[in-house]
Amino acid sequence: MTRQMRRILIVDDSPRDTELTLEALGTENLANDVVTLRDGAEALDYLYQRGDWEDREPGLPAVVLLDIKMPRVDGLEVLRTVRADPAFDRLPIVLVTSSREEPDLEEAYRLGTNAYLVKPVEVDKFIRAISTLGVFWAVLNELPPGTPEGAS
Amino acid sequence: MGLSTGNERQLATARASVGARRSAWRSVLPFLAGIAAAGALFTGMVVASVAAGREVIATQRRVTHTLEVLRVAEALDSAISRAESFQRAFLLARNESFRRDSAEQSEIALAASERLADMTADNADQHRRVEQLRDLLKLRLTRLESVVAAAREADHATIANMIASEAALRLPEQLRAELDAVIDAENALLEARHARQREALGRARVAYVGAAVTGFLVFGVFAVLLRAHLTVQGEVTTALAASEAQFRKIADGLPQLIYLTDETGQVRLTNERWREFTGIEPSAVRRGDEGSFVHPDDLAGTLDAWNRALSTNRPYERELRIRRRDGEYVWHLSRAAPLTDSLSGETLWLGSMTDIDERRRQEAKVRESEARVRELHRSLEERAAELTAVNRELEAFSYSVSHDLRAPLRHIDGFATLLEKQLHGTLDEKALRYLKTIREATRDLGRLIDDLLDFSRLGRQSLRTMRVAPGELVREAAEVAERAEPGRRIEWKLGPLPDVEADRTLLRVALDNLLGNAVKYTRPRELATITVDAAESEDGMRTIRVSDNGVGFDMRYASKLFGVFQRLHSEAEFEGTGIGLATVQRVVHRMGGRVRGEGAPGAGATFFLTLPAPHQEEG
Repeated sequence: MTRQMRRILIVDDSPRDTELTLEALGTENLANDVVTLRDGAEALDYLYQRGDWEDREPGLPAVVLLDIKMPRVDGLEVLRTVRADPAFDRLPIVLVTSSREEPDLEEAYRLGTNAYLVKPVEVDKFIRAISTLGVFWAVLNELPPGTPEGAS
Repeated sequence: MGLSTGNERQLATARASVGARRSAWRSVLPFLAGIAAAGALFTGMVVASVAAGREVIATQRRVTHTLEVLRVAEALDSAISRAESFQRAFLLARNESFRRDSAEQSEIALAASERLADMTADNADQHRRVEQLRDLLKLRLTRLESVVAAAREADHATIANMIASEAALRLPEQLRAELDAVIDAENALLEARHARQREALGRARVAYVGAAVTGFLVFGVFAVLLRAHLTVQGEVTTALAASEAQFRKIADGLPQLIYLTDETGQVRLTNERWREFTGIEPSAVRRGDEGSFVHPDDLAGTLDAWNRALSTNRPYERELRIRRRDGEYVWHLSRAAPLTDSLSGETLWLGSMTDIDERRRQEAKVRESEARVRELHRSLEERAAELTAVNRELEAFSYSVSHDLRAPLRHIDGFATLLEKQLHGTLDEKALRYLKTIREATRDLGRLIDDLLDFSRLGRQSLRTMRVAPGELVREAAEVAERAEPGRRIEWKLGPLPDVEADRTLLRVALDNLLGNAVKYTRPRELATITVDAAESEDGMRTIRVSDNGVGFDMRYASKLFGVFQRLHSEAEFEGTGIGLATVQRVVHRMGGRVRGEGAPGAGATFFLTLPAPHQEEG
């Protein structure tokens, strides 16, 4: 069966976590169209098609898996910036983070995150969570109108 | 024990000196008006009497005068008669002595007529008559003299002729007539004057009687009025004395120090208590001596306020220290108000001093304790601020812990898993076991960290207590606990539970832990029976009991039940980090309650969760 595969953005400063996330997505064959970014600044560069990402393919990702604690520009800052921009206010964003601290939860939802996932320590659970997320956002979810489809 | 004698004397003088005079004057005024009127009347009568008297005297004088005139007229008459007799006698006897006598009588007659003339000078008619009389008399006497002179040498016939011719002149008759006329007129005058005299006497009598009567009247009225006045005065004085005595009794009976001053502030009298307290005789206190019983620090302000009150006639009030006879100063509240005597118009000041020493001491104590309270409050606020700061630090700490500690754990676990996957075919059992151990240990550490973070968070979380009905929370917790171990046969016995004053979230956490434990430790049982109901509790508290038919525990180690990471069973027997009951205790303590456990090995365990009763009663 054909599945629409769309781009997934991973924004995380930890290469290890990024690798684990890729592994997880891989279990559902969702790792083909993934862009990994190291911090919030790179994420914004990508989204706004500037800096190193000037020449990227245009279009919005299906989902952004966004970590909170990152150097330079953190996840909440990205969220705030992105949500303030009408171009991105419907972009699906899932905060994927170690923190279950209430202030972060509070702030994240206030800023307009779509979902909030606390990274489980047990890797099985982690893999299950990420892959579920990936399937949901990249496959199941109907994108807002106007979002370009990814490569099939 | 009345007012001291010194005071009595003072009172008498006080009354007499100013009050009495003024009041007597005021009350007697109407009487005086009446008396003045009567007196005027009397005076009028007296003046009338005096006038009448004078009139009587005047009329009397006039009568006397008239009588005198008559007497002189008589004298004249008799002198003339004698003169004529002597003339006749001489003519008959030719005795020289007769001639001399006649001449003498003539002189007398003339003198009398002169006298008459003088005396009738005021009466025109009479005077004219008298003058005529005098003229006639002079003529007669002259003629008589001439007859007498002629008779010396003449004979009887000549004398007889002379006499006859004299007689023919009828001088004596004329004289007589004139004299009679005079006398008649004078008599008539006498009559009139007598009448007038009688009239004057009559009027005088009336005036005297009138004066006497009005005099008596005045005296009578005065006496009556005076008596009435004195009676009233007497009554007033008695009433005054009675009310004064009453006042003294009251004043002496009061615990306050009572004082009475005049409008200059000079003390007139005080009550017994004042004397007793200060040990000073009020008569000894002159204006300016107030320092003898007022505390020096209060003196200036007190005098100032007192003088101001006296001059503005406004009531006086002041707290000040009064010197007791033993030298101690005691706080008193002094109040005085002016009283104006309606009769005399004099203003006296009546004051009292009440002992407020105790009150002031209490006030001082209150101020002290208030200050201490404020101090305590301030330090409490400081502590609270410190605590808040510490809490914030802890927040930041656990925040970084939750990120920084978990990530490596995840990576260890993650890559160990991936390694396993990668090497799956090539690894022997031991190697696999090693990898498995790595992963399990990582998970354990992760759980420990999570539990610790939860435990810490539950301690720091803000508390929102309210009236909570635990039933629903118990059911929820039971469901969760049961879901954690599917396939188990568990009998839940949930009895009616009392409402408690609690934080819903924290109570739920406690129940989760207790019920979770109950489910866990009844695992060896075929049928687990877990009961949640109400237990007895002391006043103001409510107790929830959670009991199970599980493996129980040894009461010897009951003190370790609630220790952090303390366990009474091995990891092999039952999994767990040993934070569950510590968490329960922590949250229960935060809500102002207690928790304790009972059990016996193999005979189950019972936990008593005690929380405060709801603050508001329903309804």
